[in-house]
Amino acid sequence: MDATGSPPQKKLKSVDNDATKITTSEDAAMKNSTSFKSPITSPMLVPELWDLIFRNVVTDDYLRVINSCPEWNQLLNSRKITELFPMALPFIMKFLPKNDFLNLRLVSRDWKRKCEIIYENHPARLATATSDLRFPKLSSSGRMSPSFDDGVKFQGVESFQRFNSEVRNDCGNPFPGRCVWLLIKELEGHNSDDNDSEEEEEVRNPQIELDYWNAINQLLLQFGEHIWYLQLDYLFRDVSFVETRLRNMLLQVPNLKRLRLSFGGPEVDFDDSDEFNLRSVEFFKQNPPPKLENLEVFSCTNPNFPVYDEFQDFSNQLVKSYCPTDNLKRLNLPDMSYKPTPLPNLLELRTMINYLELPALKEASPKLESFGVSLQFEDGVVDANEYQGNRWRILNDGDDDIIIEDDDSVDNNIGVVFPHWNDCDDDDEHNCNDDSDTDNDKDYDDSDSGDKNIGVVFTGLHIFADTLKELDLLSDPWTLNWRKNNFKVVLPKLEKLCIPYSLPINHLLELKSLKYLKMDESPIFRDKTYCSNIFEQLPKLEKVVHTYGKERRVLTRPV
Amino acid sequence: MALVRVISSDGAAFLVSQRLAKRSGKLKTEIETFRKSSDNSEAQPEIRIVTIRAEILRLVLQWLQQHQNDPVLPANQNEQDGRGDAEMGQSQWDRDFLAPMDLGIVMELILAANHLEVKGLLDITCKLVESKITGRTVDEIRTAFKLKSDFKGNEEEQTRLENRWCVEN
Repeated sequence: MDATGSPPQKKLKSVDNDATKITTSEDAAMKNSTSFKSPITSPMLVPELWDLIFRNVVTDDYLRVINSCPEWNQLLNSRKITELFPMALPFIMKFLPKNDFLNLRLVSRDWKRKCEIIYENHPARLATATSDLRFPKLSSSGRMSPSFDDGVKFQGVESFQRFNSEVRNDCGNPFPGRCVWLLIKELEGHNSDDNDSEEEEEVRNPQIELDYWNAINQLLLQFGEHIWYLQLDYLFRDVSFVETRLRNMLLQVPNLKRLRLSFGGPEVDFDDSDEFNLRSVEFFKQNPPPKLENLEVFSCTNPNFPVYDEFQDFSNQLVKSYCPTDNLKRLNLPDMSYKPTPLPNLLELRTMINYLELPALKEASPKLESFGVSLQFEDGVVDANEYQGNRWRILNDGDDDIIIEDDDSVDNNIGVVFPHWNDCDDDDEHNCNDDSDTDNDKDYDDSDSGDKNIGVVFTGLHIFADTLKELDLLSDPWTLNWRKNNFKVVLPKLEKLCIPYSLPINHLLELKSLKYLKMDESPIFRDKTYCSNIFEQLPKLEKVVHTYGKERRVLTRPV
Repeated sequence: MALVRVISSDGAAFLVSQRLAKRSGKLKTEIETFRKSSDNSEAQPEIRIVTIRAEILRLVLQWLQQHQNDPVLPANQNEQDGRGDAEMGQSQWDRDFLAPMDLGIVMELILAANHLEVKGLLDITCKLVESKITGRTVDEIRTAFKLKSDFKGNEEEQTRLENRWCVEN
């Protein structure tokens, strides 16, 4: 830099007008120079002074300096690997197996510190990592696939005790990536996972149980403050202690950013779920837990256990009790019926929710961008017109089944974009392409369809139109009869849509921002015109994925 | 032929075809932004890249030129596991291209490829650095990266123990 703080001016290189040839004039000269020369500045400084000036320049400033002029680049060349490697590591990480990444912590103190910062912020980017800490992956059934490969896993009393004795508490954070998986199994004789059966630690008597909890508490007391990402799989034996023990554990991890809870227990303990729920509410009233103020992601699931109904209110209590109002960004409650809680900065939500609660959800979390939802409908007659102003009525057929009927006034226009789709036959994929006339009520007939309609689902979701970018309808409470109406999905910011059925394109034409569309296989995908038209009609669409059973087909925008 | 003037942080100008430049996501966006804001459709865009110096920019453009007929990889393709991309995309030319570079230059290229959104170059440069780490002992890594251990007392042993816990479980 000169006296005014500007970098030394370079002469522009002569450029080659032949666009395919890139030539430069100064590089050769630069390469040949071996000893450092001061750049031309005013006043001129000797090289030693520049060396002194730049001695404490690090990271971003370092990059700016070496990019300013060849002389400074040459001066700081010896530090280039040390300074730039941490900046490049986030991109290199995805190629590195976990063991080799961890080896970098052993290279030097500086690299250990820098690797940890990167690992803490990108724990799921290692090549071996299959877990997605940002949001748990869900199977098609909506169950969470347990996977927490980045973390230090504790399973059984011996692992807790051994860690407590081996690892010193005076060396700072002992958890690379600050990621811990606690697998707590109180269940005697429980056998939830055959793969773990050999290692399974079972608590067989009160003394062992006491030791077990002492070891867990000691671990969390010593090291809990270092944990940012916690997966807690808690298989309890006695539901009486669940709230107390959970509270005691979470009190020791005040810096948590992401928390995945997974509960399970014996069904026999739940004679009266109302009693359990009332007791939980009372417990949280009398023992208010401190909010986990840094928590950004909270997930609570009950995989593989038939008891989750009893946890509906309990899970909502956990959200109210532990999740910070302002900081929580992502919430995953796939097994539970979510009761909207004021979380004004929530961006992602995956849950079940009553259809009639959608307006309350919009009010509680107005910034919602990503929504994975299984919509539920109340028993009894619900008239969606009352608050949606739409033309759908939801009726109960007397059993558990809900029927959506379109109002008599609904216009039955359909299929205008692809008039020939009516001729497609489920059993003959080659019959799709002639332009014969249509009879809307005959084609793509589905024996289950008839009285129900999904238009109401999207109509209910339109209140999120100003923010919603990703929508994943997790289950299909409907049988499909989209052809009875001409509803449009009006979510102008939507970039990703996953639905467990298929829709004709005319329902999607308002999705001007849509980039990714996933639907179930249906005869419309055998229509080549449909496949080409969909990219014409949806200008930003890049990919269409359609599934049929386990098969998955991908269409990309034609070049 | 439509051209674009790309200027490095240290003031060197490169004149390249827009077709070639648009293989960089960043340059493509800049050119399109220029087109939208310019009244003269014939005007030549000028793009300043303030974070990349001439020597590195030249290398990026050289790589783009060599790969100008390759399919463009989306920036987010295979984000969870991009290992396949690099192996598939690496040719003998790429190996010869990277061979004479020291690791410092490779680091600069990684940052430049990321900034300019050139996924193919980003992958092969990352893969090169990865090859200096994967399967190597800590001492071999120190040698490759010209570093010395500065651990004190039993810090290194303690770190090794922490790693073991992380790997064992």
